[in-house]
Amino acid sequence: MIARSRLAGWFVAICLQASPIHAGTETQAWVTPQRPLASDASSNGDQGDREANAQVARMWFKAEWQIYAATFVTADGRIVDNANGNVSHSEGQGYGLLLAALADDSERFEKIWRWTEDHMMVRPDHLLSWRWDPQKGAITDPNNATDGDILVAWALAKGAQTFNRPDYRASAAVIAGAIGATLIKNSDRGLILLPAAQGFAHEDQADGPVVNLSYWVFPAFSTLKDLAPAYDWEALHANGLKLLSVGRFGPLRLPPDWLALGGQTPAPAEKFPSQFGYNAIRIPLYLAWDSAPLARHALSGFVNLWRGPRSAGPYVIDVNSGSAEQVLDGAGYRLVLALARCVSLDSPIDEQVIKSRDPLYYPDTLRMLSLAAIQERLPQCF
Amino acid sequence: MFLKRPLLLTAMLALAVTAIRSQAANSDEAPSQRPAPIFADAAADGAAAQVKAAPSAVSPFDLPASAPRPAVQANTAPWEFSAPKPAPDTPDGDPASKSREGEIDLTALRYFAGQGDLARVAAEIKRLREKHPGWEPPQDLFAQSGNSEFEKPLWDLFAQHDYDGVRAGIEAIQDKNPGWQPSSDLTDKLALAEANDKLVKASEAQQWGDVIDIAAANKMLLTCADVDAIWRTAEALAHTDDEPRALEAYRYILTSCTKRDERLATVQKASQILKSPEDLDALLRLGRRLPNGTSEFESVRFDLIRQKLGDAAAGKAGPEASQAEIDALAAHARNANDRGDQQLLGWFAYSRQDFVQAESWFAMALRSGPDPKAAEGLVLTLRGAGKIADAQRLAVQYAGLGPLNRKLMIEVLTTALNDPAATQLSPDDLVTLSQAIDLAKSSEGAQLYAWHLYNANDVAGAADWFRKSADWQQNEAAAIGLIVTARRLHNMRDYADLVAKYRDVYPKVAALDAAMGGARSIAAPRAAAQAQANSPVRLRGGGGWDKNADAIATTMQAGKVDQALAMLEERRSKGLAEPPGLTVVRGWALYQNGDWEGAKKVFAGLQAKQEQVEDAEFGLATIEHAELPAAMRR
Repeated sequence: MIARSRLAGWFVAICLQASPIHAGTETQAWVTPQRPLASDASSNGDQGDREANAQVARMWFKAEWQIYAATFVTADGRIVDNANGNVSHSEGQGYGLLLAALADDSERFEKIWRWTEDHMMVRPDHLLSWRWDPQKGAITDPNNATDGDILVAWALAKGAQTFNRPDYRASAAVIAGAIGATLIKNSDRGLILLPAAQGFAHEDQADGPVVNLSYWVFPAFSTLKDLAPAYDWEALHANGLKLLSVGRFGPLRLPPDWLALGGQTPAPAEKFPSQFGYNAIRIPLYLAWDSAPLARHALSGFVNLWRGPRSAGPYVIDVNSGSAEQVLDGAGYRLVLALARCVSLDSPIDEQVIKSRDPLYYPDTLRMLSLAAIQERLPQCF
Repeated sequence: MFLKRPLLLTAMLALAVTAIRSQAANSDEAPSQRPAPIFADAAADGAAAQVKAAPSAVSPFDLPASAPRPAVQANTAPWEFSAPKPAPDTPDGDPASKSREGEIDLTALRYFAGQGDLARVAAEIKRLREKHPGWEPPQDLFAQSGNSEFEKPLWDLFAQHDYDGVRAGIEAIQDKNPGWQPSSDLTDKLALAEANDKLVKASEAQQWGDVIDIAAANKMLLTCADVDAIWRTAEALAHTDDEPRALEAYRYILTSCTKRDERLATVQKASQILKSPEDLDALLRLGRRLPNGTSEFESVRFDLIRQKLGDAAAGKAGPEASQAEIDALAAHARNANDRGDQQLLGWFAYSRQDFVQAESWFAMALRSGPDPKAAEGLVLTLRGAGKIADAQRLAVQYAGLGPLNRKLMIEVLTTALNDPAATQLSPDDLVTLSQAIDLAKSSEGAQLYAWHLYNANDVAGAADWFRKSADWQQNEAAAIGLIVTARRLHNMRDYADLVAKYRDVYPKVAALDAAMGGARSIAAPRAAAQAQANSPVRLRGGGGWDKNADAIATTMQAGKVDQALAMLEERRSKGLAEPPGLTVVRGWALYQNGDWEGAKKVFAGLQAKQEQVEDAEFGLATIEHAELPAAMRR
């Protein structure tokens, strides 16, 4: 009963929220309802607490989605990267679809998919061209980005289930098959996922093949296996974790955004900054979201990148020297790392970290994805 | 330049803070990580082991010059080791540190790495790279934590002191992962913890030789991080007649370790273990000066003096306190107005029968307010000094402070009661006394008070108090008192019952009964006994009733002793014969008038003439008893 009335309080608080808010100062002034903690209602039992937490997390996520969508999703279903000339990319469309499916927003889901299919599904191999520029009103790079393809396929499968739309699933299966056919490759280091159809293979790069471990969207793999059973997604999943364990460098033992597999041993890719940065920050997010025990195990390498509101960082880090570069400045980056700590160390997430919003597409999307993971399978972190 | 300067300042400030923090994080300063130089080769061995065991520990010589250097300061303190010296702390003493000079200070970096705080490590690397272009950080920053995934459960077991579990865990991991090695951090700490366990067990079993062997083989046990191991080793050394090395162990703690409570406990332990007072003094002198100007170990020094004085006061054998020590404690007792010490000094003086000093200390202690023990001490002291009236007055005044004070008051007053030489107690004192006896259910007090009443010829009152005394605790004096009063009151039935009850318990009762001719002859017919009871002194003179004799007996029975005596004298002066029964009255009158000698002569005369033998012997027995000191009347 107590939990229920609290839920009501939350709901009112969320619904009372007016237009989208970006400024940090406004988040501070925000009415702060009491967050129900697992220990709060011990008389109801752990199961009850989990249920209550999960319910609140779901409602919180849905309310936040409305704000996020109002900010970054155009009326015709395009997700706008406001930090990069308002372009859209397959990754963003994939995230948008995923969040809409999880938020049970069939209308927006449909619009986003419509837009995506109409503007990005222009390749004969059924992969998505990754970049669309509003200045040109057209695709400006026909190459694909594998994480975008995976995200869209995964999200379509989820949408198919949530909205009972077999047509979504059919599209998902087509894309998943295309990924398998074009991007999953055998290498000296096992099964790998090429970051794109062009430009990363052994013959394209001196130290190639080059991979991006943040393109292994680990929690999507079991769905991809259902969609395209002809391909060995399990082996790909496992090899991703293995590459993650061997592809860590420097005094801080961090994975780079781009990993070259062509040499004697894996190394940070030559043609890219040897950084743990805006790409790799998603690795702990996907590991936390994934239910595989090994994924949770791999999280331990990330838990100390940021240790809470009173700590330094997180930073983009030069993996070779371990040196801090610019600050990864955004609530979403912090929430990802807080989530990693929660999953790996059972350490609770600071309320302020959960509630802070970002004005920019990318960190705010990471924040939404973290909330999505929490409401879907990690309510204890809420 | 303008901008850079404050930046640099900030960085240095941050570094200084870091240095302080890392010092604090290391819980003890650098010398504490070196083992105690108890065993000959400890110094070199320990220094090597230190590097191995604590690679991430902050070494003091890595600190920038401007940073505080508590470790180095502690090492140059005036009480420098006299024993084999551990590896020098200064850079020039260590060949390896030569190359470190001028190099980059990694203190903060290692500290953050030790904390596992990647963000701060990264920020510190950035700072160092900006400051030293081209510099590359060491790749072993997390060498120890590289194993963390495997070792975490092992460390958890370690934290639970389950060392067998850790060993089993290592084997289990190695079974699955051939070639895997636990970190040296884990194996070193494990070996040390196991050795510590063994040392503690040997020490508990008082196997001193084993303790020393284990300690000698694991010198890294003997650091400030584990003073308990040093204490145990020192104890073992002392028990094996190696006091010099035991002393060295204590000295190490006092010169190297900083935790206040451990330092204090060290001197306390040493005081129990070291036999030589000089050795102990040497340790006490290692106390640091406290902000209030006293020495850190002053309390211990005083405790030792207190121990000696307390033992002496209690009559226990042991080392005697020197006059200087007594003076020191006396000064402290006065200056700090320490009541406990004032009393202790009082009791010590009392035990030495130095009543002047004792009175002064107890009185001083009582100036801070009433205190049962100080009051007891003062009363006893006054009594011991022969100031009976003062003792009585204060005994009454302090009786309410506690049961012991009440007991003492009863004792002091009842002693005075039956001592003809003592000051007579006032009626108020007597009321206070009787109430106190009742309150304390003092069997002793009751029988003494009863004798007082008996001697004042309040025989019935005496009987009541003898009864109370015997009820509270059976005792010979009360038994005799009951028998005597029953006899006086001619309650022959009671008399016979009492004699029967007590004759086998107290030999004196049998003797008394024999002296009084037994109850048989007088107790026989109940009616007669009762008649006698109604008229206890019935005298026959000549052929009929001697009216005058009867009058004297009646006067005497009314408690008018002086008048009865006057009548006896008048009768004698008239030349009237004194029948033996009346002589008995004379005897009692003299007795009750305090002329025990006179009474004794009268009773003895009757006895000699074989007249009124019963009464005469009873009278003599009574006087004999009354003449006994209180303590012997039991």
